[in-house]
Amino acid sequence: MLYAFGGVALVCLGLYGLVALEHMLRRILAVNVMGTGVFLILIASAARAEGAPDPVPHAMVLTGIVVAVSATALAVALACRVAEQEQEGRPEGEVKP
Amino acid sequence: MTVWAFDILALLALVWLAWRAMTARRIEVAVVTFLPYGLLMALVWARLRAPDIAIAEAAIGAGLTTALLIAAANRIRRRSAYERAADTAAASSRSADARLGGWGKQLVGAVLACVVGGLLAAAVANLPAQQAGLSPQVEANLSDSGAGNPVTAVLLNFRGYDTLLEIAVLLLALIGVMQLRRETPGPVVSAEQRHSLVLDSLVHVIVPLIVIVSGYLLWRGGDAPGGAFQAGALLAGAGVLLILNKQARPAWLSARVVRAFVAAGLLMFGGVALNVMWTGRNLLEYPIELAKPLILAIEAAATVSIAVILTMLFGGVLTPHRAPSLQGGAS
Repeated sequence: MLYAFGGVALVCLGLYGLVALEHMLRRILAVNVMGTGVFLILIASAARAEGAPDPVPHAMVLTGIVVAVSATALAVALACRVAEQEQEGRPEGEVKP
Repeated sequence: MTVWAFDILALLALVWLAWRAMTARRIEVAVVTFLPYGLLMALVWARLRAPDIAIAEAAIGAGLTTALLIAAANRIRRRSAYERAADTAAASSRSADARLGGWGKQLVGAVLACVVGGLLAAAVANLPAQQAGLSPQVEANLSDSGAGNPVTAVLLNFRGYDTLLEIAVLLLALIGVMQLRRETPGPVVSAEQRHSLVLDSLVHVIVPLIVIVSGYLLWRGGDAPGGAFQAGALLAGAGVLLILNKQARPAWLSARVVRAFVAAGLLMFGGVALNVMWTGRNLLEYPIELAKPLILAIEAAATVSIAVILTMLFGGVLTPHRAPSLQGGAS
């Protein structure tokens, strides 16, 4: 149960970071921290059973990890593109080949 | 007692590393801090008797996510260094690293975090102390599922729908990242630049090992911790190494073959899911006697797809050009 509260702490930390941080990559990191917090709550609650832990949350978290990395990759690619466009002084949305 | 000490230390370290990963002064430090955070997380998964997740977290959460973020931090910083040379005054104000937003943002963030945290903590505290959840149902049907590892059984049989869509999500992310590449040709890499001796030797030793280990994980995943996602993520690690080593893509690995690899997992999974319906079954309802070979076929195809997709996601973030030399999966 200790770990479930640890997961709550990580979710809070990530949420605070997501709102308060300025840098795009830091915000992506904050989302990832939030995600691991949610996973920790799920797995800690699955480990409450006496015998083998409940495999359904385990499968959900595995799926979640893969979806999180996909979302991170897309977010990171978007963040890079935004940074590059800002630095080149082009208005957003106007893409030259 | 020692277990309690480990639990408390691990949680304190996790929270501290998470804070550092978000707020370290230099973005490079922040991003690299995510690596020990992920590795410690993997240890915690092992402690919570979730070995499948521990392997996936070490490979994907710690390894690939950090690699993606480092590549992005590099790309953003490289651009700003270039800018600074061109226009010092303007760029210095832009690159001035304001970590936290204004007073209002911090307040809103803190209030939101407190409210959500309080509600979550109350929910967690009110959970019934002992609950088996769905494990009795999984246990009861495990022998019919075609997999001995309950997590694999849930992923590929009982909740196959989730996994099918998860592979589709990976594919969508890849399409998105590929759309964001630019038309400009990449920098020309000369033969001397191409090879770093250390990385080259490392790649020669470690890539074959990774291939063997991921094959083992895939095969054992039916009955023991492991499976398609862990195997695919490991292979993607090998692919990332090959990209970093600027390994030329072998001739047989044309763009068409890469696309076939990318689509293989979803096509195989979707094909099996639909084809079982010919015999009057529901979507994804495998015949019991065929469950094991079907699951193995899906997992094999999914491993290849996951490996190539994750490698290409990294490649797409690292080299945002449509240059012919570096794009695509090099596994």
